Amino acid sequence: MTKLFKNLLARFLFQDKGILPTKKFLLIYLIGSICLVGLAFFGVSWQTVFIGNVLFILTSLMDLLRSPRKKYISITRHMPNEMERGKCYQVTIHFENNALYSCKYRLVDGIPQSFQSQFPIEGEINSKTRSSISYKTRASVRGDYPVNKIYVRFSSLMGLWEKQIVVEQKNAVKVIPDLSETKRYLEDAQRYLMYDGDKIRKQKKGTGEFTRIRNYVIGDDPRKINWRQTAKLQEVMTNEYEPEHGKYITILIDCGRMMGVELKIGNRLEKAMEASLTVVAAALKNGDYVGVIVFSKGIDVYVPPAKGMDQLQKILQAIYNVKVDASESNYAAVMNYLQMVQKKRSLILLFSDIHTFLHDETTLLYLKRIRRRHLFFMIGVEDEALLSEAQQLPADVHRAMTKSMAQQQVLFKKREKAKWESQGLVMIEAKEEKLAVEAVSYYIRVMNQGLI
Amino acid sequence: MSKMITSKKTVVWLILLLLIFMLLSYFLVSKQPEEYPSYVSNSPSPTGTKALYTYLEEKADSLDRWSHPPNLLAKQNEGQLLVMVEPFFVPERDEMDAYTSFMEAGNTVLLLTYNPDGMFGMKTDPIMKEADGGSVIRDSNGNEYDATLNSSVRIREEPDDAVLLKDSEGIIALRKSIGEGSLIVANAPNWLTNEFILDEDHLQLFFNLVQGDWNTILFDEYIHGTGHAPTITTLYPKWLLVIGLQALLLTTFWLWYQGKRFGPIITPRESVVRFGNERIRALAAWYKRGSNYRDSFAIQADYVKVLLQEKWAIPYRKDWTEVTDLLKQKSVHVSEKDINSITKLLGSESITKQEYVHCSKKLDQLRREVEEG
Repeated sequence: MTKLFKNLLARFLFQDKGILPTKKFLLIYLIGSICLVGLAFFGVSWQTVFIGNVLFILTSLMDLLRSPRKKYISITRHMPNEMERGKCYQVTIHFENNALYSCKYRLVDGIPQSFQSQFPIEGEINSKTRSSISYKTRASVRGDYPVNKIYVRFSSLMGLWEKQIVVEQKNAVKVIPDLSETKRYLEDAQRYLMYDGDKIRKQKKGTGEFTRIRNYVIGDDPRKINWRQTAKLQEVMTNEYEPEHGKYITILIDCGRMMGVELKIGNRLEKAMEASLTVVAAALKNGDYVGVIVFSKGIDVYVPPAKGMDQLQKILQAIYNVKVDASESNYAAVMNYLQMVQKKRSLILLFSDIHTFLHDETTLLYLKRIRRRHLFFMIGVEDEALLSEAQQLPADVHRAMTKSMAQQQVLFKKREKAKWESQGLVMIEAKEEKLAVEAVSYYIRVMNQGLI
Repeated sequence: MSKMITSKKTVVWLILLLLIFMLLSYFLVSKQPEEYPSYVSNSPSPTGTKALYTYLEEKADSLDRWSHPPNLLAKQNEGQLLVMVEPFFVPERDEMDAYTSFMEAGNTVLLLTYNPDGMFGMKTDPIMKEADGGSVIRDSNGNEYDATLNSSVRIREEPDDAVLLKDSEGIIALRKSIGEGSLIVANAPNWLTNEFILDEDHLQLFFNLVQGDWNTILFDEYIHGTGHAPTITTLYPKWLLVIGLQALLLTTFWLWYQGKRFGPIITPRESVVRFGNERIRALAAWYKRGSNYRDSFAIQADYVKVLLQEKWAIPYRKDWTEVTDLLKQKSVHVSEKDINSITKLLGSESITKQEYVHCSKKLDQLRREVEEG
């Protein structure tokens, strides 16, 4: 009931349609008021004061007649349906004025709050013309967003009173993860790994299965020369070998509570998402089968393994809208599920928060069982805040306490990690900007060694 | 859709109910007893003067209430008596002038007020005695009367004035000649109220004051009018009021300009962000509250020992006394004394806050040397 009233009040007074005075009006009115006060010193009558006020307000309201009627204004918006997180996109708004009067306008697009942009946009449009306005925007949070309204204020060229209208323009935007790392990898894998990684990881050549025959170049192993083809084509040809393709990779992405922790840019889940997509791209390019499971309390998304670059789109569309869950992640459930759906031997990459993972004692049991069939690897984002707190100067009691607590956590993590690694379960923590590189490097290393 | 219709219906019903309630309450409230101001000639309440008015209505030839501004008083008709009982406000100067010219034309004004100071240029003196009722009053002929006096002032006499009544403290009533007429002033309006008019000698005293033959007796109700109190327009200068009015209008427009929402509603992002150090902060606060300095210090020492093993290969299981010897070979900047104090502190049962902070700093120095080389 009160909500209804509130809505009505909000609508009438503060939101959506309406008219309102402009800054110019206020300024002129202020000057007029000062004049009136001056006149009052010389004993002008109350009648003059009242008539002066009323006349001024009424004549200023005439200005509204000189601005276009609401129905003569039409506005449409064009914006991309899919935006990558953190990338700049252009949105165009077509403004059409069919009225006899020209007008000045200000415009705020009702894009979601997490989109960054500069509003209001100001401009001027002549009568019976169209114009296009465009602005740049950047989405910083993934997800599905409806974009419904455009808020416009316009006034006559004199601009004493403004009319405000709200135009319904329904668009829907998908904000997908930042794919720049994936693209960089796909463009030139070698350079990507060399540029970012500490060590250069090559895809190992010369071992494994035969792939193709190509021209011999200096530096190739002479033992690999294919003499039969050389004789046939009158050119030195050589055999090329590569590690076996068609392996199974399963990527587990945790979206539990601790993945929502803020990093320098975005949060842990964002980073995990981008890194996993890069690994997916790398594996798919290599001709492997890739499946993805997103989990928190239960299983949120499961994309069954498949190969080919189409799978990348499929995975992207399945996981782009994953949000951080408020509950603690349930590792046992996902391990159980994994055993059920993934019968073939595969490389399991778990993106999660290592600290939470180590605290969950039941997981070890499941992992031991999983390890019999699969190769397990866990990767998390290094907690920079924790490390810096462990190294801060203990200037007072509070800081000393915080420091000791941080050190306790670091020690705990170190010891538990050592314990688990002795069981053959590898887990690493990477710096947030190195996460994707580390994950891809590990994948390549495993493939080169032919571990699966 | 149906939900909206029902909600609209409820709104209509609610407004109807509200209207009914308002009407009812209006009728109920209007049954309340009428309120009469004090000293009004048509007020039957104990504080009113209706009793005297009704009595005079029977006795006097012509009696009326006067509720118009004084400039409309008939000046030619001599022999009029205007009775002013406790005016609610001091009339303005032009009103005062009108009264004066009324008197100058040969009429009389009887002014009864507790403190006539400022009316028609009267002056009063405060008295020491508490004004607490009964006293003995003498008139100019020496006759004595009993009366209740509530005024805490006495009227100051001027050379041409004729004193009518006085008591031991001073003058209670006097007559001042103004033009052809006169002004009679007394400081006891309570004599005329319905409640007290028959007490003691009040009625007699009143007739004493208004001795004479009057063509018309008027009871001034203009001075009891509520609309004639000084208004806001007379209290403040016009320019200030114009400033006020313009400021009010400007503020309204400014609020209109500022308050209208332009764009979508925004919720602050802080409400959805979480930070990674929540756990550490909570634990630290817990340890601090429990003064667990010893445990906290042990953790720090443990951390350094792990570092010593990792970086300098000093075995972790060796205790601090053995570590001291090995550290000497590494030529660290932390003195032996400091390391000894750390060792001592680790062995002690309880640690004070000062020791804790001091030794934590020493440990940190050692940690820095080990970790950062």
